[in-house]
Amino acid sequence: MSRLDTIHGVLDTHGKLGSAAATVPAGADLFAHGMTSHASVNVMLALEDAFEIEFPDELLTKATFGTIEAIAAAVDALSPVAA
Amino acid sequence: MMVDTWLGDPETPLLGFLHLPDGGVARSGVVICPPFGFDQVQAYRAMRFVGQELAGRGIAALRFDYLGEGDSSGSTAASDAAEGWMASIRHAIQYLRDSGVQQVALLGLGSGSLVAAEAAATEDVASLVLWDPELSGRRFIRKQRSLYELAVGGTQDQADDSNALVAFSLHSTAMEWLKVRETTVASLTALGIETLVLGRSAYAANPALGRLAAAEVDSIHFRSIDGQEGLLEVPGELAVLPVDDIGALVDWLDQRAPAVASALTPVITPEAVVGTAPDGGDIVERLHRVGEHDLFAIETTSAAADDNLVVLQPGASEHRVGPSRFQVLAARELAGRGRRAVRFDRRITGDTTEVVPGEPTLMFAQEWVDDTHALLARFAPTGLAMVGLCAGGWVGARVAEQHPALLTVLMSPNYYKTTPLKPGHYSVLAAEAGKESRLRALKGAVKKHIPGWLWRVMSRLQLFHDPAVLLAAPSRPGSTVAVLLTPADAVNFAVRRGPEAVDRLTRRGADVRIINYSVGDHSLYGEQIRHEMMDDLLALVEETMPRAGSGAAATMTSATLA
Repeated sequence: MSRLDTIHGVLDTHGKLGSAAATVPAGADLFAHGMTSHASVNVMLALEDAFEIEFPDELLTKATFGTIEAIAAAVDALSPVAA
Repeated sequence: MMVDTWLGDPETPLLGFLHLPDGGVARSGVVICPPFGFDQVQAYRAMRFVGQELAGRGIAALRFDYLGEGDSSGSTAASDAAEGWMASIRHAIQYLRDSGVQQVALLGLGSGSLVAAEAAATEDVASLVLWDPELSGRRFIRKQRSLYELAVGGTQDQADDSNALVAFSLHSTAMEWLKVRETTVASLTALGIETLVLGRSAYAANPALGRLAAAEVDSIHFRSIDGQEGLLEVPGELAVLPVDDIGALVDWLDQRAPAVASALTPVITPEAVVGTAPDGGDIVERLHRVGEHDLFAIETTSAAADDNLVVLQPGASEHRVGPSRFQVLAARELAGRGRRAVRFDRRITGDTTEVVPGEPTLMFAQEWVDDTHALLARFAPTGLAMVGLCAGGWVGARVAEQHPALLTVLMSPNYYKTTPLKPGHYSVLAAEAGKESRLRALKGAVKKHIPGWLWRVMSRLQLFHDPAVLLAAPSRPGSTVAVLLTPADAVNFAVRRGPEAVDRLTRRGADVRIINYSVGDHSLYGEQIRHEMMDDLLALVEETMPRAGSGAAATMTSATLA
């Protein structure tokens, strides 16, 4: 499973999006697609579990979890092995 | 049957609610350890439902507020908060034993699981239930800090070691204590008692939960559950009671309770000293049941207090924990300044009325106005101040239609129609609120452009919200109205032509004050906005409710709280 597939899977389980994550454009505002603050925190924790990473405090912002491409960029930056 | 009582050390009393089986006997007892902060607000009625269900099986259940939380004494942000949590659980266990319960189990929900598991290691308990547990204190704190950043924003770390989390604050020392708490297969096995873990299916990929689910240890029982998101992670008016999950944990405890019951003789303590007034006198709180609906009420008073009354009401369907603890702190501070205060649970909130699955919210319904009239009939104040957050402020303003108040304070108001909603209808409105609709867009466009005279006609017909309609009754001559607006509420107030409404009322001689805050969220999850609004409401009471026999303004010395 690719890194993006894993992110889509996490969003489908925890993101409360109105549609499948794979159908949401990478640059689209996930909060506009239904993600709540609670859901974004669950997404963060599930991403940490899935990629065995930990988001530092400075990344715990709306911007980090606002779009799929922002999430992917943060995961890439924190993962030991590049995609 | 449920009884309300103070318990624990009289110097630092805890408030508790004991669910008693019929016949005055119990096969066992369960201490219910609540979660911290926002989750406690959301889960309050669910925990009460657990208590009801256990009592129905012949098991006594005790709910309580930790020291520093809810109505119990102490400060949430105290440096020794963690010791207070553990002492609270010990007191709760002891209370059940002193009442005649032979065997006690602990039940922790969410973050309450961390302290329940900790207590199980040192206390003599027969079994442990971890319901949707936080398994790592560090993870819980990170979750809370993230949620604060995303939902509230602003500074979390204060200079005085107080760390703002969602709807509560923790001292750095207590936070560090929590951070090192871990619940694992090894820690549960070491307890030597049977444990039930109810873990969210959505968290199945979490390694720590996965290890518990897969544990091949006879004493650890695992069950996957699905109802927690619908209880804890939606607006309160849309929350759904996870009846099946609760049924599972009640069944499990029922199966482990002895067959033989013992007689219960609980000591009921309806009055407690919760602080010291600046004059050295006691600040006392009395528990009451009021009116035909047995409304749960707490009266806070002191020897210096007169017959005036400050009625405090929470927002939404909340009660006296989380952000709505402002009522507790305000009541104790007011009593220290010679004012009597009362806070109470309206129907289908907190500890008033039994929990019935599917019960409707009474947000903006006439029932809450009627409940407040029943409260006033019981306490019969000479002078009255009504203070309420959001829906609580709406109730206060509506009460003024029949019962004039010296002061009405509306904190974070956003609903200005006076025609009440039918029970449950607010949930429908809340569900529709996030949806775009052509009709909504059209109404918004029209409202911007209609002339003032037509606006006033339409608002009187309750076709849309106009602050002039809600503020008319409480701003009658001789009364003061204060409208406390967070930034988002100020925008809503302006869109509803609130400033023009205030101008019109003021020209007629009304005393209407608008207080704006530069930061803060509507629900008061943020620490700074809670403190700022508290300071302003205390000052408003000082100014508008002179104490009997005191010509000058009262001394602004703070009470010392237990």
